[in-house]
Amino acid sequence: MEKRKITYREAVNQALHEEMERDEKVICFGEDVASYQGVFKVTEGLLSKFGNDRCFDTPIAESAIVGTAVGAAVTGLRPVIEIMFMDWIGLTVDCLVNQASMMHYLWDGAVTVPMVLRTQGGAGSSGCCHHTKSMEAWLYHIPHMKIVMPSTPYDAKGLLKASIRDNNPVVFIEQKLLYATTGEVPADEYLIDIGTADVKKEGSDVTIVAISKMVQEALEASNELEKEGISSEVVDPRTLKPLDMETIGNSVRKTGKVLIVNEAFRTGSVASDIGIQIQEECFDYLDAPILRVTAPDVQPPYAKSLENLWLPGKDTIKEKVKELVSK
Amino acid sequence: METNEEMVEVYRRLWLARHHDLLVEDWKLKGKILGSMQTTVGQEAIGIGAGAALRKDDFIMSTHRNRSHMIGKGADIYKMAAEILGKKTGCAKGKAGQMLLVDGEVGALGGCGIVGGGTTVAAGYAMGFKIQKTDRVALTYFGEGASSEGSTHEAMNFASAKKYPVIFLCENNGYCLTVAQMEVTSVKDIADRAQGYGMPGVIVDGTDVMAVYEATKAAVERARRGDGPSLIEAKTWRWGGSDVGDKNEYYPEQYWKDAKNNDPIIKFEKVLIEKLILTESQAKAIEKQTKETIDDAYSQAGKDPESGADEFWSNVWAV
Repeated sequence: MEKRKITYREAVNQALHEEMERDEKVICFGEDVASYQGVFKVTEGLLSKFGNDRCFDTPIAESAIVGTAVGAAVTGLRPVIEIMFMDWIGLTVDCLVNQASMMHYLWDGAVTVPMVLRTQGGAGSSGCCHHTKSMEAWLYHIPHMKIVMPSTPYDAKGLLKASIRDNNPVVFIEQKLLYATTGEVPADEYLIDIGTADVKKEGSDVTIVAISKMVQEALEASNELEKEGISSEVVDPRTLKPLDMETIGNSVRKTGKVLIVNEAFRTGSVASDIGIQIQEECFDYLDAPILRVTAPDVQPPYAKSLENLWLPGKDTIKEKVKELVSK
Repeated sequence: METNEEMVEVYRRLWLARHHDLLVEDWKLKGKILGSMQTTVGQEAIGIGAGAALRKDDFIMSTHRNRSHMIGKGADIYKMAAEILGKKTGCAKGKAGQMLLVDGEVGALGGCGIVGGGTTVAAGYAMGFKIQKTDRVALTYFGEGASSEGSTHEAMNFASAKKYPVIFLCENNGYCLTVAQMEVTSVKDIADRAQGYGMPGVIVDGTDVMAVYEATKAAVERARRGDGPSLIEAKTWRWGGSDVGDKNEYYPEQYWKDAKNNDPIIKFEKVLIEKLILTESQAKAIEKQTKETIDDAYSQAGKDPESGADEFWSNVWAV
């Protein structure tokens, strides 16, 4: 199969183009997404190709962006909305937890809410605390809503296409530092099933479950550790909800040791929950305590020197893997 | 409401709503209904009048005080009763209860327990109708309390900027939960806010079903023409308190006097009798027949089976 090397940004953009071409019910709206084509240029070309009815700018009103997407989805459209920075997700949570995720279940199937909320998070560019955080744990707590968090161009494209075709509300979380990264994707159309993890690198001593950009950090750590004779397996859940515990569990049962890496506040993080699920399902196979690498429970500061202290990465991962191996 | 038959149907629905909520209030106080309960007694003319100005394929977004909205949109009485009693035969098989009532068959989507939570969704219904090039409209009910919610302001600005076909119908009963409106609200007339969002804002007597109908009809016509949203403020009185069990001791004497002097059903009955559309005995018969409809629905639904694990686990995900 022919493959092309594209960026993560292009992968998301291609998925939007292809799905809007395929299905006229797919529309795209949010702040700066139409004329300006998105602050990260992810929505490039949509307005000129599909017109202002299907790609349009909204007021700076995150609550109404989500609320209108819910309503429009109920009428039969498939809105793909953008919340520019994930730090602003708090403004939308009421509508996600009390409307979007409620309607299909509590109204017992009277309606469906096929919508995708695209957003992006991640530290490392001195965005400070209003343009940096990864708040997926807040949304992870909400039932009846899927959460996708891809780490590569291949995953981003295949999973966004699947998200747009899903009949449930889906939150699709991109990563600002991943937009420029490249990877191969097939020239032909493909989809990736939501709820399937991917073993990004095989190994035997330790399992590293890493999310979003932390997959990249984990792979770098794993490659360096290999030179020191430590073999680690990197598992990327790709979808946080539903979580593919089969793939994660298979890896943990093989290695007996697990580290979970999540660039988010430590307490109540998705890493914490993955840890308890592993404990419930794989307790008899564990040879060491489950460890986490996360950001601390501190607001991410601005200065490079300070942000570096906040941001988890390769070095901490290596340190923790060595700790696990020594047990 | 152009014909005599339509006016009689409106009268009948006013009584259905009244008898419905008198019954649920009684049953709630007797412990036969679970959860919290808000009634629309005294406010019936708004949901019934506005509903008469809508088509079946239009959508409404309602509130926690929703029965007259649902009945005005033609929702199934029996399924509503069964839902409120938590039965398998209910509109949502007992999952939603009184606060989140729904009837997708008639575009009643639906009750909402979050004050101001429905206004953005209704703007989205209207967005969907407009983008799909239909002439359908959405109407959202909200209270003067919800007029203070940020989401309501976002919805009005967004809908007006994009000329979405949505009607914002504010039911102003003077009390935000238990607090008098003027203690916590910057304006006396919520309709004044329309000016800030570039849409028409009108005030109607919310106990005059004809006035509510006419104002809604004008707003609906404007929306169908593509001219965008409107704000209607219907002034009314809430007889049942913030919720059942609230004894309303905070109402000044004048509030009660005005409320009882503005019974929407008595007002409309006078009109129908004066216009010789109904005789007094015909009116009495409708009152009696609607009470029987409600009583029968509740006594029958009360015998229906309850939902179980199958219903609990159904529609967890949409396929």
